Amino acid sequence: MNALTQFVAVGAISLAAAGGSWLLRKAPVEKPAFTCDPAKLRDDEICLADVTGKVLWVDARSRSEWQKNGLKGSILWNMDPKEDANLFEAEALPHIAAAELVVIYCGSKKCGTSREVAGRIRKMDIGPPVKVLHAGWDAIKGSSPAP
Amino acid sequence: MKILPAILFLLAILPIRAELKFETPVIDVDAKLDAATLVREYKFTNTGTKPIKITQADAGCSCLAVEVAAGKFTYAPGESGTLRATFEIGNFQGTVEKPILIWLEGDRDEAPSGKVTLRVHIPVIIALEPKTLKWDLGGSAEMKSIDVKMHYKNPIKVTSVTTNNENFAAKIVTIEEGKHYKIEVTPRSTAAGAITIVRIETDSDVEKQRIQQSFAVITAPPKPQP
Repeated sequence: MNALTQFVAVGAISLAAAGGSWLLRKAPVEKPAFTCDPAKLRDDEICLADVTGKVLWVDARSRSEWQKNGLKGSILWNMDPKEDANLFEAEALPHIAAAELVVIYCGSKKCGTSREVAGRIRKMDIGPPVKVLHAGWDAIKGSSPAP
Repeated sequence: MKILPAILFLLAILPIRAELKFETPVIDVDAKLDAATLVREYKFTNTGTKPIKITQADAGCSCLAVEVAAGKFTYAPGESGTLRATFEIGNFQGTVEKPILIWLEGDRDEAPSGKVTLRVHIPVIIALEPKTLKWDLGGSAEMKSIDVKMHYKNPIKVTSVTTNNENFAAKIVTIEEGKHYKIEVTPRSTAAGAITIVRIETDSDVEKQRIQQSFAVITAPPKPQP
């Protein structure tokens, strides 16, 4: 086997190994259309498709976002330090008491504000189950028609 | 001449690692009562064998801003940097735990390479228990109480208690002045569903905890599970 043949052989092996490594570590991910798999939900999450009944929507985004396009009938409750937390509680109380389910949505998939607000509502211990909408506003935006 | 192919082969099969190692991945902070924000830094080192590029650091809360110090995002093997987290305390109380996820170039959305945690302990100087008093619809209209305990260097007095529903009467009972109170709440009737806010005012010099609120609710008892 001459040097050139060896070189080609080594190159081929290298490429194969590198390709394998690349596939294992960083396979190209096709961005799927938005989906919600109930099997992969965290305990406190809910898929948009499963939200039914007398629902109270809680918008955990900023006041300006809520005012711009918050869901119809939703109430605002976020963690903005400029907002009055006591007022959020007080305003939410009758709505929570009248609801069969409370669902909180935030501005993005990674937003943890929903979870924080959910904790506060659960602490009020008024009655209805409290869930965080999986994928938050992205799920709502991707649905047609909007809930 | 057989050494060169062997080296090339070894290079090809050696794993190329990109690793982000934090000196202190979990930071506990005791916040001061009057603090509005707090800043903590996480020192990290690229312990891998190839350069890394930080593409995103996210705490998932508008209350916590995360930035890479000096705006430097790429780190050679062995190089160190700092991640700075700024927490806005706002109306948080008690222990707040915030995970911060760090994505490197090439990471998938669901698999960030790094995670650190900021755990903030914010003093609760006025503790209420329970948060909500409940009566069953049509049940006994007995008095129930909210326990109010002060955890502060100075005494804090409850100065007034009010409800926003005439069906509920509330009064202050002093157990130990400045330290311990009970708020007794009695519904006039449980014949109809009702809710009220129980607003408890104090003379606390910590403005953001001066006014507290609890709730009182008359609802149908929960249906028995089959």
